[in-house]
Amino acid sequence: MAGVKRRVLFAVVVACAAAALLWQGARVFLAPRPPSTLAAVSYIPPATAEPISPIPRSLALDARKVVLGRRLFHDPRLSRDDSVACASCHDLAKGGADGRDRSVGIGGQRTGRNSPTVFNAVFSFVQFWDGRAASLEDQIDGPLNNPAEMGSSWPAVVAKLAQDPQYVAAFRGLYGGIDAAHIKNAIAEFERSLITPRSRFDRHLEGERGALSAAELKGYQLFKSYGCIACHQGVNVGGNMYQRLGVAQAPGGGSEDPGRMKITGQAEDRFVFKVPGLRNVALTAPYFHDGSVQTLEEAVVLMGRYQLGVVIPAADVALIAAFLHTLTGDLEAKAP
Amino acid sequence: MSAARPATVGAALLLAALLAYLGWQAARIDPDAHTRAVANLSKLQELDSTLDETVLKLRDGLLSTYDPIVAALQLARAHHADLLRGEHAIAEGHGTLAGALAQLEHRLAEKESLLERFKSRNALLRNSSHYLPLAADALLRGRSLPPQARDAAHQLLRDALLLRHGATHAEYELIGLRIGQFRRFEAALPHETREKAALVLLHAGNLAQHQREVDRLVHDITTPALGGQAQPLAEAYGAAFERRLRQANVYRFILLLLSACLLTYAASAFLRLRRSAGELKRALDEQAAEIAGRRQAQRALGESEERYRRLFELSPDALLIHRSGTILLVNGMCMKLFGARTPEELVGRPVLDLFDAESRKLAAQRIERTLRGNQPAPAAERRIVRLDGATTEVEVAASPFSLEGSPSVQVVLRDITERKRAEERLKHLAQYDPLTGLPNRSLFRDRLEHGLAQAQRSGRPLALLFVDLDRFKMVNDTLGHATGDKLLQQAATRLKECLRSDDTVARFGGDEFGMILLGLAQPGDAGLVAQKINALLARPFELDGHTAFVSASIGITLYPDDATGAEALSMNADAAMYRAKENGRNGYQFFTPEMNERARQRMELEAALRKALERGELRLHFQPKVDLASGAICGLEALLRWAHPERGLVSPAEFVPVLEETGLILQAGEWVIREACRQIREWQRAGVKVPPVAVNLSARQFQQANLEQLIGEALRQSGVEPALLKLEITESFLMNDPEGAERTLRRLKQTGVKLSVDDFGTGYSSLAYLRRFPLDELKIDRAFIRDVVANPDDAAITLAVISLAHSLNLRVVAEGVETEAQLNLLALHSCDEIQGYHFSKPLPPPALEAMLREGRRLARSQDWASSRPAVLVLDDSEQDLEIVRHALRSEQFEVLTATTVDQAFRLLAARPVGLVVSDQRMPGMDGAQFLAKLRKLYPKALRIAITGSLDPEALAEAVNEAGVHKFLSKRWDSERLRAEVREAYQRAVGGS
Repeated sequence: MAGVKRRVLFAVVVACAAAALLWQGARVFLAPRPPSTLAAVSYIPPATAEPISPIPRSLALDARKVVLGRRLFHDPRLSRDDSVACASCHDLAKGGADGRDRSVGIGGQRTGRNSPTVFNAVFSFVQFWDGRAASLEDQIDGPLNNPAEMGSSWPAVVAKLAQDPQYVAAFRGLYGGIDAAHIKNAIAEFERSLITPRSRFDRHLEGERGALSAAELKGYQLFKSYGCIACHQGVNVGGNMYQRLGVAQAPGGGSEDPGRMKITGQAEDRFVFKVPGLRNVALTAPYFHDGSVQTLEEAVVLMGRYQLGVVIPAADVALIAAFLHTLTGDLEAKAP
Repeated sequence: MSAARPATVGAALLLAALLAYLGWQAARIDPDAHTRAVANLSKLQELDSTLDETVLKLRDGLLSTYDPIVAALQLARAHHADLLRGEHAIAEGHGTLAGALAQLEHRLAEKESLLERFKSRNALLRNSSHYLPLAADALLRGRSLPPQARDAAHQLLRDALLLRHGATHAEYELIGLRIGQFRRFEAALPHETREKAALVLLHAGNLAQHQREVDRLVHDITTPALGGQAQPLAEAYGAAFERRLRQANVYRFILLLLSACLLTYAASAFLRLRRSAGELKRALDEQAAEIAGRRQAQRALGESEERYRRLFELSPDALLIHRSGTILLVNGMCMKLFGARTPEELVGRPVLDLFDAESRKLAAQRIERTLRGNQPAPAAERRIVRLDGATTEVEVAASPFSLEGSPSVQVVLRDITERKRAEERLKHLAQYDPLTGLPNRSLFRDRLEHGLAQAQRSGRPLALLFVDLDRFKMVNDTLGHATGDKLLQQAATRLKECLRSDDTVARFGGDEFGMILLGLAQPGDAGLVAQKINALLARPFELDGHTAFVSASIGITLYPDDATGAEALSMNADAAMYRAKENGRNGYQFFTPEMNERARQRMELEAALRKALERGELRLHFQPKVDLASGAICGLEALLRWAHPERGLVSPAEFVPVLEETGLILQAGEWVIREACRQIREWQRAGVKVPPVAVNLSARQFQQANLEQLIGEALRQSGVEPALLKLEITESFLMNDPEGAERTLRRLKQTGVKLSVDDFGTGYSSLAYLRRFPLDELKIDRAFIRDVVANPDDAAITLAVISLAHSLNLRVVAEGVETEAQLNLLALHSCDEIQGYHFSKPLPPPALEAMLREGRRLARSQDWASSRPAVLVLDDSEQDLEIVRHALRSEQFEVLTATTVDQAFRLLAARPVGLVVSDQRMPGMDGAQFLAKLRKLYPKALRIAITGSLDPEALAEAVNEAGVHKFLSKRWDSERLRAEVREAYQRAVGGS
């Protein structure tokens, strides 16, 4: 009896040793290669001397994730009371924003700032007016957890979505399962697909004759010569740097939003905001971080006064606004 | 027994743990992670310099978007994340590496925040520098500014606009002071003016503040480079990886040893058991009383056998036992190794069949030795043949073993394919270029030696080719390194297409490739290959949507015709390649002995020059410059001459290039400066009034770090005042590296000497830089002066340079003035000074001293300004000219005639002309074009066009472009002609 027990024990020990060795040997072959992080960089600017470059026709994306992300983007279950979806404040039919000065969250609460357009957000170097999210994925945490916006939490959202067999199947096929990181990735992938190429201005940049009228061209010249171009440049006509609001003259009307200082805690970042991109700007009124300005013309006038210290004559304002209208790209294909 | 059990189990557990630990340690090495880390690091370094370059471009306005910064930072972050991901296995327990990684991370974060600030400040700076002049203009145009405030505003504006990057602390202080001065007036100003003044103050303040901040940011961003951190990090990585590799090998070795020991122990136990069993049986018959005890022993032995079988069967290594070369026993791992499904497929076969042909002989010898010596054989590497015919690398250890009384051998086989592959990969990394996969220089060198030995045996020629891509740098600079890398990869693929399988192509680094062609049928075949390469590389390269064109310069040398050694052949191929480049790129060149001959002559000349410097055979000659306003000598240019003891004066064109190539130019240049100072002093002592003396600085001298000390010392030693020394620097040196040039020029300027730009017009000056350089003088290149009279294009350039210089407050000197006509033209357009054979050739010091004493002046054959202007008539028909001459014969002015445009320009340069009458249709140049050029060069002369037809478009063009004063019909009417010309002439010369 004792002999049998001993033999079994011995066999178990040797088997364990062998298994350990085998497992360790196999580790070398089976170790999964960590996926490259380099796919995170989606847009490499062309080497040109022009301050603005055209939006590429398309980016390399996973179409299945885009489809899944589109569904999530329009799904109100991401909010606590199933009333607010991403698309509520970023309506693709309203230029990727909501046309309000402040947005409306669950229970009719009003948000702190004007909702920026989701179109071409992929080209912004950081997200939010104050740049507190480094990526589209990180940005989603903000509204989702904000009690005044969607007022939810990831465990709650994951639990809700796990009830839906369609989601379960889609996530299993694409990611292996549902979790917060995968949901964020799918939504962000959809947002990366929201680019608006072929604006009349881009067609002009690409050499199409007659894409712009003489007045619009003149407007572009003024945009450059007044110095708007110093900040509003690059593929997104902005969205790649920070700047202080009120360089030349502080904006009136009790704007108490300290901007980026709230994030960095540094006094020099007071009233500093991300320079917004001007793509499709004609569609995204009202303007500025507080949505306080109703028309494009008024925005141009105020920018001239606050940032450049000039009073831009009405004729020039009209020409610059005409140019800004040409930045409206191909949104038709993106609308739901 | 019951006491022994826990001990045995304990020992077995311990052993298992040990084996597991060893196995784990041995497997903890991943060559891929290392390769990726190195690639990430080099990418990070590259991105860092891209960032620096982008920042400099943005600062200088060469780039106007921040997207490249954003993209490069995102990429750098991604590479950094990838680096951290792979780092754990290697970095563990390696303090230096962890520290270096932390430092890199810190620097990256710091750089990112500096870049953010740079972007916003640079934008503000650009707008403030745009708006300040506008705001100032608006302020100064108003009348309500008191004179003192106006002065203060002027000063503020001037100093603020002069600010540029690299300005000193004092200069910024000055702006602060100016702002303060002007602010004092602000309060007293009327309301509207005060607003304008506030705007000026705002922009001036912003300009100064942001200029200073951008300066500091650019400095902080570009120094220190990330590369500084990446280098130690790469080394630490290499060291950590090496250490891991060594450790892993030690663990593997121990593991192997342990397995062998265990097996030997198990086998011997097995045999002992068999022997004991036999004895026991015999003893059973004899000693019944001992049965119980024997049975006990037998059971123990039975267990031992069982244990051995299990060990044998479960061993992680493949084991087999053979006797006299015939396989007796195999375990499961062994079957797996050979791909056998049942032991019967192996048992009974000769053990030597398992090895491949190459290993078989060695294996046979070892089996023999093992059996004879009855000693274990050390591990050796062999290749075995699996049952399916595939081969596998294994490590084999054998030990003699007695099985049932007969000598047998137990063999341990271990699959080492993976280890071999890792070793191969490391070897590949050391011998191959990672970018293109081609052999690198060191492997190429091996192949060349090998190829030469082969060529010697076969007696067939070998060709060595060096290939250099022309214009590759341009692709790299304009499209970026990543695109450049793609181009190199495609070029490598095309080069491979040109070769046969025996030949070798290698990349030496950069855009240089080498090729070895073996077994050529005839030497000329190498030329055919070169043509093929040229043709293939000349085809466009498609790179990420860009199309790039490059070409190749190829140098060819042949073994054994040109040389027999690898070293000499490489030098030949290099020389031939440079010749191919000199001959205008996209071509190939066979090495010729003359290339060496030329190099030899160069060396002789160089040796002679060294001696000349020691023996003092160099001389200075001086050529005077003349002030056109006064006609007096206003400067001298010192020119280097070589008085060769046998050859006499050697042309500078012959020896100056050699000085420059060899670096002797530094020594010679220093001598020139000292000698010029000495000569000035000598003349001054002799009582001669010496004008400023200019010496030429070479590019090398200009880059010399201690140049200003050297000049200061020469001035001090000779006691010459600095303002008497002028330095001439060729325009193209300045524009090669304008940033560096600006710093050097400022340092030189502080010594008090004057600065002049030589050969102006041949380089590509940026006006922005010219304005920032602290210059005193521009010298127009003689190439433009040569044909200035006859060639309107040259004249236009000359005029443009003169007005440019005057707008920058610089004096202009025209070089190479040889004729009176050139002189007159230059004087007319207010050139300040001339230099050239027309006044004097370069003279040795005594002759020049005589000229200075005499106070010689430039003689003008007629006083240009006061001579009466003439009338010039241009017509290609001699007959028409005769009519005009006749019509105007009795007028008071002189009538000049010309039949060609060239002739007309020559006449215009020779004397003042008040009125030009030209046919509108002329061969060579349209009459209207002629008049338009004339208007530019001689704006004061009135222009009359003679037309055959009255085509309205031609007329409009003549009026708009050429500013024609009047038209005359071709139907000559003497009376009308005379009246018109007389009237126009009166108007032109103002009735005098």
